[in-house]
Amino acid sequence: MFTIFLQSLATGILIGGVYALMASGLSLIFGVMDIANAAHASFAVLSAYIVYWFYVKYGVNPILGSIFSIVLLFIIGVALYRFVVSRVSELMAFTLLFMISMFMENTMVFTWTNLYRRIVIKALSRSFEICGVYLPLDRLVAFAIAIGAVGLLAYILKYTYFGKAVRATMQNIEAASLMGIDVKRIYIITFGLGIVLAGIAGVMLGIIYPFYPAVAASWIGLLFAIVVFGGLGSLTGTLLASLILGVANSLVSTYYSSSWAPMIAFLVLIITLWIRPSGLFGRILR
Amino acid sequence: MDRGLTRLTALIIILIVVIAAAGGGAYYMISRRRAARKPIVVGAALSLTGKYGRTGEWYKLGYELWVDEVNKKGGLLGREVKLILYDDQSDPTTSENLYEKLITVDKVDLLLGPYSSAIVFPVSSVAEKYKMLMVEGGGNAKKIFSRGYKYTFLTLPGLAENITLGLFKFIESLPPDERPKTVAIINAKDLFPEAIAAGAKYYCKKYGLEVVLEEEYPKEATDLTPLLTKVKGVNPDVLIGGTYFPDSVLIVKTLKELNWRPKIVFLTVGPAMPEFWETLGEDAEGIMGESWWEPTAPWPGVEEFVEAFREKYGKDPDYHAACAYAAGQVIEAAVKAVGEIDHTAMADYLRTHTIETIVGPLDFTEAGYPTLGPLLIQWQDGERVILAPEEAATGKAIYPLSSTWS
Repeated sequence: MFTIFLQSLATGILIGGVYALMASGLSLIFGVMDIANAAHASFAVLSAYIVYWFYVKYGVNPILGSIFSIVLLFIIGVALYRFVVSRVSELMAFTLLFMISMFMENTMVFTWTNLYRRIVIKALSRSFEICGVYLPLDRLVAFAIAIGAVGLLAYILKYTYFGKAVRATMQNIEAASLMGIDVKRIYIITFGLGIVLAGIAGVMLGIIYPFYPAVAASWIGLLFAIVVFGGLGSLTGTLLASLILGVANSLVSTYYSSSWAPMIAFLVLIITLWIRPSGLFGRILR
Repeated sequence: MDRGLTRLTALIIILIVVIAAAGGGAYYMISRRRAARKPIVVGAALSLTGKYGRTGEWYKLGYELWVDEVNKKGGLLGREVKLILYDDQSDPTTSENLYEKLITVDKVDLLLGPYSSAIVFPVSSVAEKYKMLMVEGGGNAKKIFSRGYKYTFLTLPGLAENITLGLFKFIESLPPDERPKTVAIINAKDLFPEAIAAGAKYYCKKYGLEVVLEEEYPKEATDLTPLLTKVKGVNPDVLIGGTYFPDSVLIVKTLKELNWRPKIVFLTVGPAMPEFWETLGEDAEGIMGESWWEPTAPWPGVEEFVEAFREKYGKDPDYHAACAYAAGQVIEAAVKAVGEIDHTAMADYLRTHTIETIVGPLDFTEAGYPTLGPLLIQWQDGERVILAPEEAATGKAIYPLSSTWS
C-alpha cells in the first residue's frame, strides 16, 4: 500500500516536471510582457511534429531535429512578435494569438493529418526501479530539462545584462527606456525565448505522449492555471505550481477518481484568483 | 334491305378482331419482357465529403464492388443492378432528405444504409416510414435498435456493447482452473467507451468474473500513470480498457513503465489498427483487442473479396468496406430467397435465417443487429492473430502474459 503511495507521489512530481516544462515559456512571456500567449501549446505541438517528421521521414536524429526545430521556432517567434504582436495591444494580442493557434491547428491537420503520432525513442522508453517505485526515463529527462531551463533562465535574469534589462523592463517600462534599455529588443528576444521553451517542451511531449494537432487545446487551459497559480513573472512560482498540481492530479487519480483530477487545476485557479490574485510568488498586479 | 352482314363484311370484322387481339397480346408480351429487363435500382447516401468523408469513401468502394460482383453473376432476379449514390456531406438532415428523395422521386427498389450512427439514426426512421428494407454497415449505436423498428438491419457484427464478447468467449474456452477471476474495467469518459464498459460489466456477471475496479478517465487525459498505479495496486487478472487510439497506446506504454501486467490486457479501437504495432513495436506483443473484420478471417468469400478489391482499387480493404460489401450480400440473399422485391417478406426472411457474409455468419435479432460479436485479436510478432470466435481462430493465444515486462 505504501509503495502505491510512493509511486503515485513520484508520478505526480514527474508529471509536475512535464507541466513546468510546458508552462515556463508561457510564464516568461506573460510575466515580462503581460501577453497571454494563447498559441503556446500549439507551438509545442508544432515542434513535436517537426521533430517527428524529420525523424520518421528522413531519419534525422531527434536531437538534431530538435535543434533545427528550436532555431526555426525562434525565428518564427521573433518574426511573429516583430510584425504582428508588437503592433497591437496586450488584449488584442491574446485574441490574435488565439486565432493563430486555431490557424496552426488546422494547418497541422492539413499537413500531417489528424492521425496520432509518437516520437519513439527506444533509449528513453524504459524506467528505473527504486524500492518498488518505477521512474520512467522519458519523464525524468523532461523533469531535468524543466529544472535546467528554469535554472538557466533564473541565472540569466539575475546575473546578465540582458536579464537585468528584462527585470528593469518588468518593473518599470518608462524608467527602463529612459535608462537606455532598448525595450523593443528586449521584448523581441523574450518572445522568441518563450517560443523556444515551448519548442523544447514540445519535443518531450512528443516523446512521452501520443500527440495530434488538437492536443494543444487540452493543455492550454491547464498551463494558464499553472502560470496564474504560480504568480505572473515568477519562474520559481511556475515550477512550484506545476509540482503541486502534478502531485494533486496524481494523488486524486490514484485515491479518488481520475474524472476529478483535471478539475483540481481549475479549482486551484479559481481559489487563487479569489484569495490571492498575485499567485504564490507573483508581484502585486498594477 | 339486306338482312344481316355480307360474307365480306363479316370476314373483315373477324380479321380486325384477330389482328387487334394478336397485336395487343404481342404488345403485352413485349412490354412484360421489357419490365423484366429494367434494372433493379439500389439507392444510398454516404458521407463522401465533410467530417466523415474519409470513412464514407470506404463504404462507397464496398457498395460499388458489390454491384460489380452481382452484375458479373447475372444481376438480381435476372435484372441488372444499378446504384444511385448521393453525398450527404456528413450531415444527418441532408441524409434524411436524400433518402426521402431516393424513395419518392427516384423510386429506388432497394436501400443501402448511410455511415455513422448519428446519420443512420434519423435515416432508419425514413426507411421505417416507407416500410423499405435498409441494410447498413455503419451505425451500431444501441439507440438505433431500441425503437422496435422492423426494416433496419446492421452488418457490423455487433453493437458497441458487444465488443468484449469475443474476449469472454475466449475466457470461457480456457480450462476452469486457468481462467482469470478478477477484472478491472477502465474507460474514457465518452459515449462509445462507456458503452463498451457497460457491456464488459454485463459479460463479467454473465460469465462469473468479479469486477474489482471500475473507473472512468477524461477523454483528453494526458497522463494515465496515476490511474494505472491504482489498477496495479488492485492487481486484477484482466484489464479491460474502453479506449480510443491514443489512450490505448498510452496505457501499454505506462504499464511497461510501471513494469506490471495483468494476465490479459484487452483494449478497444487501438489494437485493431496497424499503427498500434508501428507506434509501440514489441511492447504491443500479447495485447488483445477487438476487430470487426480481418482480411485473414476464414469466412467464406473473404479471399475473393480481398482479391477483387485489390484489383479494382489497388489497395487493401478495411472493415468499413467489408461491412458495406456485406450489406450488399445481405440484400442479395434476401431478394434471392423471397424471389421478388417484397420488403416485408425480405425483412422477415432476414430475421429467421443465418446469412453467410464476408464479415461472418449473421444471425439477426428481432431488432435487426447481428449477435455474432467482433473478432478477438491479439498482437503476436507484428501480426493480428484471431483468437475468437473459435471457428475463425487463426492462431493460439499468448496467455497468461508474464506479470513483469523484463
